[in-house]
Amino acid sequence: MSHFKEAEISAYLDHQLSADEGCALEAHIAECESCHSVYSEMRSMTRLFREAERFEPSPFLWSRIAADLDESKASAFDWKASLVGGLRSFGWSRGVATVALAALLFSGITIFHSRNSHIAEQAAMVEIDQVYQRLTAQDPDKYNPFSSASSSHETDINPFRSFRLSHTTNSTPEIARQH
Amino acid sequence: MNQAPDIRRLVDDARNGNREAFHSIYECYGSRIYNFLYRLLGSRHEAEDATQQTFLIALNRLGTLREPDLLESWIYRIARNEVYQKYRRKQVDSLEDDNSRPFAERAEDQRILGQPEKALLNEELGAALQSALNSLPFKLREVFILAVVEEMSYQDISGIVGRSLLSVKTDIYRARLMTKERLSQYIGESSRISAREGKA
Repeated sequence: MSHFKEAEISAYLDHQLSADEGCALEAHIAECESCHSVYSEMRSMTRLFREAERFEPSPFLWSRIAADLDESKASAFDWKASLVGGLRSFGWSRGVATVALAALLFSGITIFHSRNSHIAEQAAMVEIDQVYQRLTAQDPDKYNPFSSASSSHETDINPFRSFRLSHTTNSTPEIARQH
Repeated sequence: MNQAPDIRRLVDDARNGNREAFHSIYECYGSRIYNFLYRLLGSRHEAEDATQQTFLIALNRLGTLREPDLLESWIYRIARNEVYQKYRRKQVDSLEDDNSRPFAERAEDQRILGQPEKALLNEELGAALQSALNSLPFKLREVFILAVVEEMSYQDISGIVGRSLLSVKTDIYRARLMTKERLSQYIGESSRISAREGKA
């Protein structure tokens, strides 16, 4: 007769064996004195704990927890957990909610960056206009982009003639009108 | 145990800041967590502090709970981790317990409440049970309490303590052997009472 391991008897007392395993163990301990003895001692000890008094917390414990919750909420706000939790309440999975937040953040940064670039571009154009106005005031013929004389200079320093700035249409009409 | 009718709804409400839902979650699990922590720590005062901390952490981090159906195991895991951190901080394997209070003094409380002899026996047995638990290494104590006192499945225990199913099963068995030795005097008495009840 092969005996049951004591660890199996322990698991049986915790209802952790399958139905077949449990039946086999019960049949065995009904006939095997040594296994029955082990089972009986373990069962008695288990009963002592399961029938012992259960302890209850103080009735004021919840009030203390609630007060601490108010305090912690006032001092710190977990925005990430809150946003993810909020999106999840709409049935979004945790992964999708996190990706959505990341995408939102990235879009915000991109918009902010492109807006800043546009502002910088406009500022540069205004500066170029101001420089050109100063130059044309000194020598209108030399710096007038619409003057045929200016194109015949050997050293052409007119910036508006270069290919690089040929697309700056916003400022050119204003300059042209001034002349 | 008070089983909530709809844990998912309760968790969703609590996540949205509903204080009543928070309270319901505490009502569902507060007593069980406290009893688990009391058995683990052996001290009412320590158990109450740990229970308070456990629920504060749980309620603040509810948004990170992936599966609301696993709320119970999740709270137990927080409670267990809270105690584990405390042990690491204290660098000791046993904490002060109510047993430091003189036995006669506690027995006197029971006599005042009536049933003096039975109370005395219960008090003595209660102290012996807690003393047996306190003598176990933390690793064995936590799984033994979860399996024997809280009657949780080995699968759930494995998730709570973060160890394999086989390791949990072996540790519970080892804890049973050690506890049986320490309680041999009471086990004999319990067996005789069971036998008498069986004959009757």
